[in-house]
Amino acid sequence: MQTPSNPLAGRRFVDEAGNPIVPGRKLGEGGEGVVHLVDDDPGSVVKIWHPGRTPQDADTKIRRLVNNPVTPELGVTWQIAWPRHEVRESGIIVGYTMPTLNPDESWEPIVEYYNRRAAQGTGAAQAREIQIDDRVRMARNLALGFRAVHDAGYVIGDVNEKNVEVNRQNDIAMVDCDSYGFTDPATGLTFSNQMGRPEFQAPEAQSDYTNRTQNHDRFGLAVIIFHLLTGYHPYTVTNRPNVTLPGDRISAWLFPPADPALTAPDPYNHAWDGLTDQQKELFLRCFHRAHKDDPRPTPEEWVEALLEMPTVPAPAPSPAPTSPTSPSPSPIPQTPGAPPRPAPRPRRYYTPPISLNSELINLALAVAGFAALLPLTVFQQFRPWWWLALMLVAGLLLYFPARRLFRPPITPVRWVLIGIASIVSASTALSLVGAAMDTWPWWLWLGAGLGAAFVFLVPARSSFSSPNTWRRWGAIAAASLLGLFILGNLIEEGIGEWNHWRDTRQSPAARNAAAAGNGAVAAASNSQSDPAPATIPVAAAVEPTDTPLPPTDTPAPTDTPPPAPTDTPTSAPATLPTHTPMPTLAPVVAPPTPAPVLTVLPGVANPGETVSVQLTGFPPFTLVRQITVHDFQLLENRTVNTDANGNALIEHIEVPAIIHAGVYPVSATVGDTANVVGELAVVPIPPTLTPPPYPDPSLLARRGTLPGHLSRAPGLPQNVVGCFVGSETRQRHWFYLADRPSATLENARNPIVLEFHKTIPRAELREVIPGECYYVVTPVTYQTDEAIPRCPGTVYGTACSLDDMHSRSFRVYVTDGILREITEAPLFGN
Amino acid sequence: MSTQDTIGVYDQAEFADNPEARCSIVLILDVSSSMGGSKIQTVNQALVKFGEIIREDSVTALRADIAIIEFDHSARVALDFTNGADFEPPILAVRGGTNYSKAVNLALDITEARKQSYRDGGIAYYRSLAYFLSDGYPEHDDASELANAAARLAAAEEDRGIAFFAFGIGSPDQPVNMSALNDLAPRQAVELTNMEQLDGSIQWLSRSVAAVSQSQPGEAIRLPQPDYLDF
Repeated sequence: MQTPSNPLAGRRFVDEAGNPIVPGRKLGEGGEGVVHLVDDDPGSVVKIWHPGRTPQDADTKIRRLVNNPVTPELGVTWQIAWPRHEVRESGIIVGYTMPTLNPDESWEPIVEYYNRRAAQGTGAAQAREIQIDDRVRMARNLALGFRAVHDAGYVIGDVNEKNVEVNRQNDIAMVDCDSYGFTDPATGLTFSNQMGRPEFQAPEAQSDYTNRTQNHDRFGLAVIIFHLLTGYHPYTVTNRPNVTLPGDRISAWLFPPADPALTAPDPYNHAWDGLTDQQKELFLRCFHRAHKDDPRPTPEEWVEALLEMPTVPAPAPSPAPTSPTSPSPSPIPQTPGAPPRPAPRPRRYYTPPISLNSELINLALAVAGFAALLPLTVFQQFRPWWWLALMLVAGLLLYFPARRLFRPPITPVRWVLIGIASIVSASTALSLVGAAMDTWPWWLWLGAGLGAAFVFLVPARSSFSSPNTWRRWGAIAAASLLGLFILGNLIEEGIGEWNHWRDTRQSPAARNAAAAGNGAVAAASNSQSDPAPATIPVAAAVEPTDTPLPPTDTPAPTDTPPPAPTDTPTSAPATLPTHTPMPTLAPVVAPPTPAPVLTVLPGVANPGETVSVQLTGFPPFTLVRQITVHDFQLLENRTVNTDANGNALIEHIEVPAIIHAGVYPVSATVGDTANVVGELAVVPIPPTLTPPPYPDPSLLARRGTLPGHLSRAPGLPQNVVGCFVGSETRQRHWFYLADRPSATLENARNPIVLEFHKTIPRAELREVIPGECYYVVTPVTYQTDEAIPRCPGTVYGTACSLDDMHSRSFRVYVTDGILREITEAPLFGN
Repeated sequence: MSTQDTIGVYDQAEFADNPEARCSIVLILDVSSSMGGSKIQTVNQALVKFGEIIREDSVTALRADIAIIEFDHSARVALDFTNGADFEPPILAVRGGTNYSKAVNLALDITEARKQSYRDGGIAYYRSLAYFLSDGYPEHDDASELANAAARLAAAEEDRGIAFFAFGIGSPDQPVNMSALNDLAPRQAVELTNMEQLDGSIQWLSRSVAAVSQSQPGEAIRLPQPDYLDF
């Protein structure tokens, strides 16, 4: 059978739209025609019928198939080689194109997976060990494929074990689809496959292949499923020596489980005993003569029945000598000649072993998907399309493991994994909700919600589509709860948006009234949470020039009379004994956004001190992007949202230590709304020889860990006394040393300079005078080879020491401002 | 190679591994001295190709059980029934004279034993195929033995237990005696006149075997058609 490599070369083919189709390498040849690759379309193959083998009414048939395809939905575990395009030559149909199976997935006929002899071979199908749960999955996927074909109204007809292929994921593919039977409604033509293999044909169809129905297909489906579950053809009988042809046995209904007079091989009996009751019932309904007039089990019923695993009898040593041609280790654990044993009580579930190429990879993918979401918590200034892109990536990474996890059989191990995946997904979704709350317009929310629903529903669909058991009710309930939760969030967000929209359309009077109401709430909560008296009501509520908020609108709940904007505090807070009287504060001009109110608590602070900021009357559920004082960003990386009333209390905001005394406007960027201005009075710290309260010694005097390279720095002096600069950010502390007590920072011989290439602007350097304490505040720029997180924190300076430089741990001693030998320094924060 | 002791003794474990329905094929090949040279060489090469064609289709390979009987003045099992997935033909060598009846009886015996093992294992099976090839005259048969063998063959054909195809290989200078073959075979024997036809006849056999795993119109098991003369 020698053929040239491309016998179709030189022939000109076009599809129904006139696009040329160029056959490439030849893949195979059968009785009907040849199959070639399609040049420039690696996903397609073309089948060209042999001359004279063009099917009857091929025009109508192929057109109908092309226009009414059975297409697996995304995420479904079966494929089908459905005709895609007609192929014509000189206007006459000569074949069709169809999708090709990905050759990387090692597709093999399904017989290679259930026949133990074939499984001992060396083909790609044998490279992995086929377990019972693999075969049950194949069976279930096959039933899903049959269901789709039948739902579309087609009859397969020639069901056999070579028209079904399996890949290494146990997905199945149905091929030879141009032979499917149907009636074309346009022309009334009826097509029927007249070919068949007796082994897969129902008793009533054994002698007549002309009137095929879906009920006949169901017989063939059950035969293949029986093969997968037991390894045998159902009509296997040992005591009917005169009925030897497969078709004759089917015609005679020689199904041993249905008739005690029939005997079958021991492995057959054991495999049958291991089937679940539901599976047995379906097989009997299909193969028992008593049910010959009943409709056979539908693919739908098989999908349900195959959720549970049959029990596999434990391999028992065979009394018969093993033939040399059939080596004993075998993936199908049915052992011939095993003595009859009582039928084991069927386990409800079979727990598949966790193998490297399944669950672990799933878990790794899920973790990767989660990790892909992590940057979202760090970079909160993302634009919406960044979010969308990241969410897409993360969704895909989460989707594929979910697709496998949601696939039956649902075992306890799987439930745990699904649970973990669900929790991860749900918390991820929630963090997305929280972080992205105000940056998205409503339509982006809607799109994201639909996308998320799609990602979760598609894999769930194959689980939910069958008749429901209590297990699936649980899954449905869980999914519904998740869905309701997301829906609730969306609704809440929508209400917030609505309120905001309505507020912005109200009259100024109404807005003022609303602002007053919100202010009252804010003040009430202030008085409870913070006893500091120096509350400065913020000029945010003040119109630019002429209409300050009436005093009666300002909240005055019980004990804190609202000071006028020009008030100075009459008593310094106990925690700030060195406060000088406040300078005169002028009302700060604010842009005309009257309703929201920003209050700094207390309104007077030293540099480096922490204060709280109370926001009232802002849009609800909105991200507070930034609080700014005199160009200093106060929020750093914190995520704060307003609550349902549009209020927020942000505590522990550090007043920049570098800031000079004065009164500064405080602006807040909330959502997309314009800046709202409050104010903050910063009082200078007077020069004094007594130790001032250190801004927050506990933050500085911490045990820490030196970077590894620092412990390797050569010539590092022990017990350095000198200038210390510590940079404190939220996560890390960085320390810098000078080697002389009164050194300027410029002169500091800082070992870390070697590593970090620190740059300190000269203008920021100050001489350290003994007996005086400085808050040396310097914006420090790090230029380093290492990946060091952005470090915009404030920097303090004082005298300090460092001991045990050669180990990787160190302690920093903070002196009281007087430079002495370090041995006398009190140790803070030990 | 199997020893004579184990001929016709089949382990049921084989059927537990592979319960596919079976088609047993027995090739009955003349290895008398006159088959020497290009004839036996062609046969040996064709047998290798036979195995390759059988294995082209996994279901065909699982369903074909192939045995080879070589005969001269006696008959021996050169290869007992072996599944197509494992089939490796022996290399045949020539010697001695020619005896048809012993070969036919041995072929029928092992085929019957094989079928009994199928029945014991619950294995469905198709009609056996027998391929008989000779180039000479059965000078070592006496007439009654030959007649008995022919009668046994006819009975086996009659109850559809076997389909027996006889081929004579001759050449213009050394024509084969077809009448002896036709006396033996229930259906018309076929005369092959050159090596291409000999090779083609064995290929035809392998493609006929493949019918057991191919979809057919209707239920009837199609017997091999005599299109082997078309090559």
